[in-house]
Amino acid sequence: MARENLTDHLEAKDKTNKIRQRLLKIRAKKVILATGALERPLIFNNNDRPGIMLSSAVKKYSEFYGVACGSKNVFFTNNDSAYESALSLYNKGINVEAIIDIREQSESKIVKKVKEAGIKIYWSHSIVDTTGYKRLNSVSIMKLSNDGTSVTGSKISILCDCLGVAGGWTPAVHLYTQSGSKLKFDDEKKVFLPNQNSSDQISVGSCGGDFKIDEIIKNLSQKLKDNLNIKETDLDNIKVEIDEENSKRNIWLLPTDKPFGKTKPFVDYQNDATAKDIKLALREGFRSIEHVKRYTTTGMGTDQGKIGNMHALGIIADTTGVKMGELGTTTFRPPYTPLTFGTIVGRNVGKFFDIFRRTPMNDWHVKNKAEFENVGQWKRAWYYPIKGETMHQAVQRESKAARESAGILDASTLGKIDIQGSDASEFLNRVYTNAWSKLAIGKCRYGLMLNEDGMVYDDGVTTRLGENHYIMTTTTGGAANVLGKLEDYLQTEWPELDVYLTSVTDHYATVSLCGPNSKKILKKIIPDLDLSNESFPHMSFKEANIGHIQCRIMRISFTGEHSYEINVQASYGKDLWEKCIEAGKEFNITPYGTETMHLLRAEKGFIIVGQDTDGTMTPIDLQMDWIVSKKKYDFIGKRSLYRSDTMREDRKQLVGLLTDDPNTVLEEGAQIVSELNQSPVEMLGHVTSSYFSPNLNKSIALAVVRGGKDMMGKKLFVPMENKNINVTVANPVFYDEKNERLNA
Amino acid sequence: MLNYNLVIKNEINQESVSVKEISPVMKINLRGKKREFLTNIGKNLNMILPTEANTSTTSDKLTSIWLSPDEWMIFSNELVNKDTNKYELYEMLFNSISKKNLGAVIDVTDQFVQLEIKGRNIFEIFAAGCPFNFNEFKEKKGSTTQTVLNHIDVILHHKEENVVNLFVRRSFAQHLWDWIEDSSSRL
Repeated sequence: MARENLTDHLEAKDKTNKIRQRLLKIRAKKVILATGALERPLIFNNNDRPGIMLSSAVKKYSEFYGVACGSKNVFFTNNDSAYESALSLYNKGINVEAIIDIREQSESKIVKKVKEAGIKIYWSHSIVDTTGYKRLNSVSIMKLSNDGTSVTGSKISILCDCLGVAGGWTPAVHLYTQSGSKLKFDDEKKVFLPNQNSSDQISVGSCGGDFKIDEIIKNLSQKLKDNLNIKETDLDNIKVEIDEENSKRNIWLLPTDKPFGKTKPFVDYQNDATAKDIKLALREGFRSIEHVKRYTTTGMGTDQGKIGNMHALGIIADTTGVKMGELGTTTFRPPYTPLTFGTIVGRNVGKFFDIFRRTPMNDWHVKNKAEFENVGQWKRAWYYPIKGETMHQAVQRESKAARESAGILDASTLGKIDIQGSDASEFLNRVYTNAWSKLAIGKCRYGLMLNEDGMVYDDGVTTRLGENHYIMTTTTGGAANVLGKLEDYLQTEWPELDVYLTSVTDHYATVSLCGPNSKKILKKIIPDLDLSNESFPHMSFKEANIGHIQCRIMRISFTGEHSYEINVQASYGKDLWEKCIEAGKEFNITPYGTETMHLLRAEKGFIIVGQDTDGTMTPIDLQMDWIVSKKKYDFIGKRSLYRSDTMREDRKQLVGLLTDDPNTVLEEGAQIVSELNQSPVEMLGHVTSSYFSPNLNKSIALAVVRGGKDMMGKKLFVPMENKNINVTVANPVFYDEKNERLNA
Repeated sequence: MLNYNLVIKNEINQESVSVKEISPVMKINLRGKKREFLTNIGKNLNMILPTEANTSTTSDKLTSIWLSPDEWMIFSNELVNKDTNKYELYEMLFNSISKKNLGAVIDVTDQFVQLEIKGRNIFEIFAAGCPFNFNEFKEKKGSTTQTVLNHIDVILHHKEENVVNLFVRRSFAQHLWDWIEDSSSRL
C-alpha cells in the first residue's frame, strides 16, 4: 500500500476542489527495498530538552531548509556521522563549539577534516547532564571509563543551545517484515537485518545493513545481478573514495556521576518512557519485549518506536543478560508513515458512506414525497405524509384506507429464491418446519425456517409453480443470509439432493394490492382473469398477461385483507404500480408504507421475524405450534425443539397486550412486570410491537412474556420513567379472528 | 400494455471513459451437472458452455459466462423487444431442461442491469474500488470475473480491448452508477 500526495505541495488557491491524496495498492512480482536507515539517539541523563535533536536532523535543517538550529552547536556521537553534520554547519559559517565522542579515537578522513577546521573534539567523553528550561543552555561532560560503565575525572561544562546526537543507524526493515519476512540480529553492527525472505525481494543500501557508500554500491550491484538475472550493471564502473569509517562504540545506556535513581535518561521521547521505567518493568517480572512495551508504553507513540526501541531492547538485554537476537523485536505494523483517515476512507463519505438499494418504483415514492426507512440495505417507503401530516396521522389514514377500501404497497424488497430440481419438495421439507410434499401446483404456503438451535430464523410464503419448481420468499433483511445458509446446506450436508437455488429478488417488482376493493382494481387491470374465490382462492397463484407482459399473481395476505401480490419483471414494475394507482382512483386507493404494513399485520397478530423474535424464540414460544409437523422425519432445528430447555413451560411466549387506557400506546422494548413493589423487580418480558389501531380505535401491542400462554386475562404492569401503565394479557390476534375478511 | 423503464437515465461520455446501460438484454441463468444437461444445452444453443473458470464463449447471438462449476449466465448479444417479456429461447430451454429434471433454467433478465464501460481508462475506475487483479483479465478477450466494485457484487466480462460488460443486480445499479460517475470524474 502506498499513499500518493497529489496537491499538498501546491498553494492553497491551487488545491481547491482537487484530490489531495490517493491510496494505492501495488502488486509487484519483484521488490527492491531501499528504505534506508533511521539515526539513533544516545541515552543519557536529561537527554530530552528543547534543542537536543538527532545529528542528522541538525544537518537536514541546515542543508534542506537553510535553518541553523543553534548558534552554539555541540555534537555528541559514537560514530563518524556527527562529523559530517558538524562539517556541514562549519562550511555554512555556523558555529560548532565541540564534538563529544565516546570512542577513544578515530582516524577517518572526515575526523581529520574536522580537526583541521579547529573544532574541539572530546574523545572518550560522555554527557552526564544538561541544563536549560525552555531551551538547552549547557551540557556537562566527563571522561568515560575504559569499560564504558562509569565516568571519571572532573566535570567540564560546555555552553551550547543545540546538541546534535548521533548514536548510529537502525536499518528501516519495517516494509521487509510486513511482507512476512524474518530478521536476524547482527552482533557486530548491533542491528536487525533481513534474513529470510518471504517473497521475491532484496533489501539494498543501509536497510540491508550496508552503511558505507562503497560497500552499498558493491553489494547493490551483486544483489541486482542475482535478483534480476543480469550480468552487469552500471554500478560496476563506479569507484568511490569515502571519508567515513565504520568504527562505532555502542553503549545502550550511558553512565552518569549521579545515582541512577536520580537521573532521567529518556528512551521514548514521545511517551516520556525512561530507562528507569524499563528497568522497573524488568524488576516487576516482565521479560518479553511485548510485555515491557505495554508496561512502559515504550514504542507506542506516533513514531512507533522508530527512534528509541533499539535502545529499549539493548537495555533489556544488558540488564537481563539475554542476547539481543533472542529478544526479538515488537511487530512493525503498517502504516510506516502515519496517514490521514481521508486517504483510507477515500470516497466512502456522504452519499457513498453506505450502499443502498432501490426498488423499481423508487422514483414514484420520491416524487410522491414518501419518507423512507432503511431495511437491510434497502430504502423502503415508510409512510406517505400529505399536507403536513405527522407520521402518526399518515399511518392512521393509510391503515383505515387499506381496511375500508384499498391500499397498495411496494413489496419488491422481499427476498425471492427460485428453487428447481427433482428433490425440491424434499428440500423444502427439510428447511421448513411444516410439510410441503402435498402442496398442489398453483398453491402457496407459509413456512417458518429455524436455526439448528430450534429458534425462528426466517419466514415467508413459498409457491409451487410446477412439479419440481417453487419460488420461495424470505424476509427483506434475511434474503442474502437465507440463500447463503440454504446453499451451504445443499453443498455440505445434503449434496445428494438434486436442487438448484437462484436468487431472483431483483428480477421481479412486487405490487401488493389489499383491501375489500382490491379485487375490483385488479379486474380493471386484467379484465380476462377469473378472480372468483373458486377459481382463484386465498393461498394460490395464477399466471396472467398485462398486454404482452407476463406476470405472476399470488393471492396471499400479510394484512388479513383480501389481497393480491402482483409480480412482474422489474423493468415494468413502475408502470404496473402507476396503472394500479390509476385504476384504484375511484376506490381512493392509498399507497401505504412499511409502518402501516407493520400496524396492519400486528392487528392480525402476524409476527415479523427480527421484531417479535430475537433469535431466542421457538415456534412454540410464538404460539405457532400448528406449523410444526409432528410427522416429518427431520427438519432443521427439529432436534433442538425437544431439548428440556426449549420445552420449558415458563419460556418467554408471544402474547397480545391491551392497555387499560385504550389511548395509551406502549413503547416498544418496554419491560413488563407483575409486581411493582418487588426489589429487585422481576422482569417478565418486553413489548415487541406496539401501535394505536385506528380500525379498533384502541392501543394494541405484541409482547413476549415468561409463561405468557397461561396468563390470558392477567393484569400486568409496564413501568415507565414517570408512570406505571396497567395492561392485560390478550389474544395476539386483535382483528378478524375468524379470517372472514380474506374473502371479503 | 406495460411500459418499459430503464434504470439508468443518462450516459457518461468522457474522453477516456464512457458508460451506458444496455437494455433490454435477455439473460438466463443455467444450472446443471449432468452430461445430458451439457449435451442438451450444446444442441439448443449451438454453442459450448465454458468449463474453465473465469472464461466465456460467444456465438452470433449469445454469450455465456462461467459462474461456477455448475452455473452459467447466458445473455443476448443484441437487444430484445421491450414490448414483451416472453423469450422463445428461455421457453425452449425451460421445457427441455427444467421440466425434464436435467438442471435449472431461470430467467434473470431483470435480475441484472448490463452496463457497457468503454475507454482507455476503464481499468483506472476498477482500480478505485475493486480488489481484483486485472493484469491477466485485460490481456485476454472474453475473460470474466465475479468480484466487488465499491462493495457491490458485479460480474465483469471483457468484451474487447477497453470494453467491459458489467452486470450488477438491478437494485444496486443506480448507486453503483453514481459511484462510477463520481470516480470517472476524478481520474
